[in-house]
Amino acid sequence: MTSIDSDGHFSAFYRANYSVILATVTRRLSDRATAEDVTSEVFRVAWAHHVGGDELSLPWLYTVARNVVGNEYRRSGRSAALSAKSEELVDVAHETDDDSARDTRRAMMRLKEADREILFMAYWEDLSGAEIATILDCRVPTVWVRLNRARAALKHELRERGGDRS
Amino acid sequence: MNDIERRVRAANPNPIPVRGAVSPRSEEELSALLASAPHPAPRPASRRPRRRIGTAWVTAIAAVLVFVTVIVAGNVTDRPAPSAAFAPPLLTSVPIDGTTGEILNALSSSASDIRMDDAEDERTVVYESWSAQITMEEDTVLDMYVQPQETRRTWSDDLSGSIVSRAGAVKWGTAAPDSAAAKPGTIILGEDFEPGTYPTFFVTPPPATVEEMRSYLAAPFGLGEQSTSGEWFKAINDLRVDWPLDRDQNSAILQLIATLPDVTVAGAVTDRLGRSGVAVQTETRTEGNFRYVLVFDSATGLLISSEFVYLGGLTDISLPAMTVLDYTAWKDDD
Repeated sequence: MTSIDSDGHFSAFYRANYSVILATVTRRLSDRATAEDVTSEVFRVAWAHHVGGDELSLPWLYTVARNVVGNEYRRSGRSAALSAKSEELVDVAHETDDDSARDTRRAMMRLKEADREILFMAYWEDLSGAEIATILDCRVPTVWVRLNRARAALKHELRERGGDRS
Repeated sequence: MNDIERRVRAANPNPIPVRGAVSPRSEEELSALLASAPHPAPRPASRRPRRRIGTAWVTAIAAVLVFVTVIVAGNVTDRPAPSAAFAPPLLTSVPIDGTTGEILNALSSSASDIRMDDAEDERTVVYESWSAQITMEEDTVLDMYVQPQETRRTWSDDLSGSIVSRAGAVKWGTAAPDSAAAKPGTIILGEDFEPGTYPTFFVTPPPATVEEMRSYLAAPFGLGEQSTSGEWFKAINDLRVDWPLDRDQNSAILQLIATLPDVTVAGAVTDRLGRSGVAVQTETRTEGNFRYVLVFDSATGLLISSEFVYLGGLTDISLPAMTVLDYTAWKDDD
């Protein structure tokens, strides 16, 4: 460890948030290897930010991740919007996948983007209510309301489209 | 974990253990990063390390709250309410004569003659607010207290501006000496916005007639006949966060509220800043079991406070019933 991180602040920040950023980048890119590269780039930006004397926070890092993912799209020449890309998740084949999982992803992709995002953040990225509130610039109770609404919308969508096999 | 949560988690095609140990590859990358800085750079005082509420935050909060006595009564209650350690007490109300419509009309008529300068291209809104937060570590409650913050939002027609929030004094409960409570006056959020970037739902000035106000509030959120009164209350709150309201705009809001279903007058209250007001409330159970409260100044009729209360009854949010979750009390820009 060099003197710039003599207090271990950046290292702790890195270890605390690496998997969160990897999770959010992975769901946007689907490709795990590319996601790991993009996550590395996110933390390179964070390191430069830290070395420059600026404060680190998860919401800031989350924004950087979104921007770097956007750069990755432009770099790779893919013109689809990020939200459109996420729809590819529906068709991702996995050895352990089943009809219920595919139905759920399809139903999620039919939700409003805000509903889908908060479900991702809460359940795929395991962000706490306080973290989601900070990222979305709203209050914790508002997160609860939105999450509850998103769950209700998903449940409705699953029933409407016959995907509720539970 | 409810069925929907379980199902969403199971649908993740690339599950990654979040909060787990980082991989050897990422440890190597961290080492490479740390070695890549040739010169130490000046840095601001680091923030206190975040103490996580926890990944299963709803469950965690519930685990804390079972140790806390909370009043089981109406949000705005007609008897003195003891203070809960982690949340403000419920407002205490005194019944007011008259129907809801009559009282709203009276408030609308008494709205003070405040007018905004039409030529003013910059506005400032100042308010004290608080939202439920529980600080935990290793399942042990370290702090249970209410520390509001004061926020000053200043922004211009070109959507440039700033938002600065400072910690206020602990108002209810006690913060332990080693708690995460910020020293009063500490800036906990400070952000400047370049032109075109200030985050507001309402870019143009609020209108002054009830029908225009209905359309104005509905536009950002897609509100309509199917919307609950709670959603309208929330929109009003969001509007007031960014815009001071003059007499006519305030009256338009009161008249709009008078047209909404399931709205009642709770009575005369004293808000979090000690001001006399009239509390108007509505409950919604379609987007969660919550009660929204708006408080209008008894003398001027102007909107001065809002409150948000969990009513209980949701199986996936294990908070005690009638917990105050959030309040906002607007102040004069002085």
